[in-house]
Amino acid sequence: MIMAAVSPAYYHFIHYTGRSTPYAPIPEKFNLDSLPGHTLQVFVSDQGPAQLSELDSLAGVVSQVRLAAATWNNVGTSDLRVAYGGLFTPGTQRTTPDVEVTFEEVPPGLVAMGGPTVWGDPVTTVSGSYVPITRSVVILRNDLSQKPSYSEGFFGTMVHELGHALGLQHSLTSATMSTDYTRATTRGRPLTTDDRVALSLLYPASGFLASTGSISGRVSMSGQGVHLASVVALPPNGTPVSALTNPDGTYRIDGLPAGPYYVYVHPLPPTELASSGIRLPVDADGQQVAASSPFVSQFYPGTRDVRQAAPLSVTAGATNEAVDFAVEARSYVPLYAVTTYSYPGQTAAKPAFISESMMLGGKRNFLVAGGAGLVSDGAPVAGLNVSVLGDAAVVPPGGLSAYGPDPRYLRVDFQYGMPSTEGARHLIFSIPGDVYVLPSGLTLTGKLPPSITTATAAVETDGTPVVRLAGTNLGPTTTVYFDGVRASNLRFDETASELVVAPPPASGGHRAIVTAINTDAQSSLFLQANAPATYTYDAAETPSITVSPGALAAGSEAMIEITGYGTRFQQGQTVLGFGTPDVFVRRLWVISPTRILANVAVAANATVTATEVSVTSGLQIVGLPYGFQIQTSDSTVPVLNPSVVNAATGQALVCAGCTQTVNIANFSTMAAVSGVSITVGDEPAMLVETKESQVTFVTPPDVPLGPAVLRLQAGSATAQPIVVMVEPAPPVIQSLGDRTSVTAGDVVAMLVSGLDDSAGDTLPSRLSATAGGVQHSVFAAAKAEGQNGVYVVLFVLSDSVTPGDQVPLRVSFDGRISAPVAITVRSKPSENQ
Amino acid sequence: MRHWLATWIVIAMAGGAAAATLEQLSFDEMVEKSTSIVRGRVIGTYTTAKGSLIYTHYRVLVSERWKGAPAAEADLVVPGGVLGNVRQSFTGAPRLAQGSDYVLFLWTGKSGLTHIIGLTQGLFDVTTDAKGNTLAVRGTSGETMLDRATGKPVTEEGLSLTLADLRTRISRAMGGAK
Repeated sequence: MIMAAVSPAYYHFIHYTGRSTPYAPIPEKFNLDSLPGHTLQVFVSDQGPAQLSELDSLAGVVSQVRLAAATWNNVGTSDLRVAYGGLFTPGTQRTTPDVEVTFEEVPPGLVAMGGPTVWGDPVTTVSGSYVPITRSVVILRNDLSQKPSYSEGFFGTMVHELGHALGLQHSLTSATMSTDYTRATTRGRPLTTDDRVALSLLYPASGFLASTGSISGRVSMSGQGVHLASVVALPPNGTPVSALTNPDGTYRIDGLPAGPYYVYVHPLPPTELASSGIRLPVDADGQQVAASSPFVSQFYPGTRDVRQAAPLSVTAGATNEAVDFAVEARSYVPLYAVTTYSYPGQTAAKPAFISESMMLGGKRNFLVAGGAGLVSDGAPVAGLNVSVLGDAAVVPPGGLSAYGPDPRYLRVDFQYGMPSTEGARHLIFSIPGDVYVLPSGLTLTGKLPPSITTATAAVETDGTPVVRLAGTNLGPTTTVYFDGVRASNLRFDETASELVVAPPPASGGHRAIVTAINTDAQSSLFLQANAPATYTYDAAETPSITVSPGALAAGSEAMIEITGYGTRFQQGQTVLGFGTPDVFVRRLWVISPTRILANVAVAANATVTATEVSVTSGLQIVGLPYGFQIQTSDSTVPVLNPSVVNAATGQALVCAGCTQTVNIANFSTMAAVSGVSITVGDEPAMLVETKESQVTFVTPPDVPLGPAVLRLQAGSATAQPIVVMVEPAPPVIQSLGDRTSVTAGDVVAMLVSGLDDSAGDTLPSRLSATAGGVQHSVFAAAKAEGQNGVYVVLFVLSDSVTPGDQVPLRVSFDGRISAPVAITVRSKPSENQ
Repeated sequence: MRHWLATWIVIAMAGGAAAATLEQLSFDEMVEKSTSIVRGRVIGTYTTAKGSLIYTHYRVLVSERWKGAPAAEADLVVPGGVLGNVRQSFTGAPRLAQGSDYVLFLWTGKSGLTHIIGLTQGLFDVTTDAKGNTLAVRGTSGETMLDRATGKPVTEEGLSLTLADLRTRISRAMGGAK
């Protein structure tokens, strides 16, 4: 039997090994070790959608996919990296797991699909068991004429479906992984805590669980465990985290940031139990394990009245246990799938934002809610009450009514309540005998959404092309997107009330939709969904690229050079893709708007095939179908490992005049061959030592900083060249002041050379010290008197450092690490000594 | 009134589902958007690949047709299936049983592939109740969907109705569409 030690919090695609307790949920997820750099690549079909809305473009669609991938990639507590990998040609054979986004002809009624589609056999590791996902897809409509890619709806759908592709199921917490009915995320605030926790529990980064707390318990009905009850930990002023119960009613919510939480339980709505809802867990025979029957929702401890509920205090590293619920059965779920809208202008915005300033002085503001069980026969259902958790806003007497323009909806009036900060608030819908909670059903804000009235091309005095944006509620903290690519804010011109931005690169003539998003997550599309601001780039020649070399063998590590014609490559905006996850771009250097160098790795088990090369620079996409060939592996060609190590420090860092070590595959039979030579930046390097699978050399002292090509010749064999980044030499600890024996709490002084004389006041923040593996902040650094280029660097020794005679001490400057020196750390004398 | 119109625009965008994002179609919309509506029995399956996707084809022997060009058989696709040593599975994609009787609202696109409208929305099991009535039932237990405008379950639209009622409603909807 497969045992599992995975956390059952949240709800993933789950398998069980049996039908009796204890239930050990086994999730589906990607095997990080099968992904180069733990990076899951997301490819977009080069076929594109067949139909687009008038203002849309393929570059716009791709930019939204790229932004959606970046959204999941930005979850720092997850060890999974997610990256847009460029275009691919459907049908391309590959071995490495990936996500494909395709545009398919789908029938009316289907908008998009996403999720794992191909799996491997279950895997058991020391950290638990899982079913490895080997392929996921996101299928979008081939006809996007009614759903433009710049809309909030398209982006929300893309992030949601991509979440499925990563291994996440639905939650009922108004998260991005909630259905579109209750989803309260926007492009300005695309993920909630629940979404981040969901991903982080599947792919936890180091320290994630230790830094968060847990709640566990059991949900029962007449003593029997309730399966697939949704238990929600709801912070008063934040977004919740939830989990579904196991078949025996047990549950566990992990990943909770420390703080107070209300806890409530509710049944799954019927929409989630349809065949297109939550995928039920399966047992060892592949049979679905059904959900329990509906029940009455309740808060902990056993009340439907939130005012009687007792918030729990969650602390990092601890579990609040036995948070149990005994629920009462009922025949149906009376209230669910509630959507809220507000009207900042003439267009309904979802989710509802209410401006506090509009409620001052007793003025009312309102939202409109749609959903099952709110309105009956043109009036609110009997006994319905709506309140806001924390009373930041209150519903006055008579504040509920059928919405005049369409009485199938509920109008909810609000008045200003308790003084409160801006942000999402939770709505409580009470009806006789039951309660429904809509997390983040209302967002309090201080002002109306931004709008853009004009986007005008201009040129700065230094010749830099910019775009000046005029409108309302724009400011220096406004984020601006051109389609799905973020523009760089240059300044806010107070006089003209204009925001000046640097537009991302795009092809000539491209028309981008310009969207402004403020820090409260309100978008200019709330006001301008039907007539968004646009910006059209100047006409230019049609871009194209060439690739060299155009073929590499499986197992290769090599430099690829891309030469562009009419291209606008820009560092930080440019993605090079090879149309297959079997080729991974380790690092890319934009040398000029028309030249790229990149180190790529071809998987050892890569499928031999022709693939598409694409370069995406902002909104400019240049594809070269079948532009690259993966060949069978060749064991006679040496392969350079691009992680070239500084021999003195052990860090992967190349510097002029430094002794370096490069590891080489397919080299052992050649090591004895005379005539091994290495060049860096076309300058010959002095060889220090040649061993089996390794050469140590000195980087030529005159090689300039920046990317340089490293070449190796071994007899008649030539390795594929790689690019190395030549950086300043690492710092050197010259000596340890006047104390080489220290105790926790002591100030340690180091004399360090190899720093930046122009660093000024930023010097301490760019430095850190590591003693015995424990990182320390530097609190002061200053030039040492009488010693040119030497600095005194000070830090306080932490009591986390294990005492010893030879504790290694290193200093780091801008990430470059020194060679270690030994320091003696003495035990702290006890107080009674 | 402009608020009212705007609400419709927003609500019409999308309803939600698990791995699939669905857009709720009313019965009349299903009739209108279908290119054919048939009752028939599954007599065979096979799989094909299109790009990166595997489709399972179901061959249906048509016993009754309410819309579309006459043909003895229908060939419809559902995403997912097994082809060679590759298995693809899509959450929410329906599985049709060999020999079972269905009413199908079908849509044929430009590619020539025929799909079930709305993934599962256009799929009705044909069964017989205790009184001997022949029923068309959409899905099985819990297959409830929301009306995209009201948020209410679609039971008001008739998840389970007699075949006679189904014929009447299709006929009425088609007549109304003229």
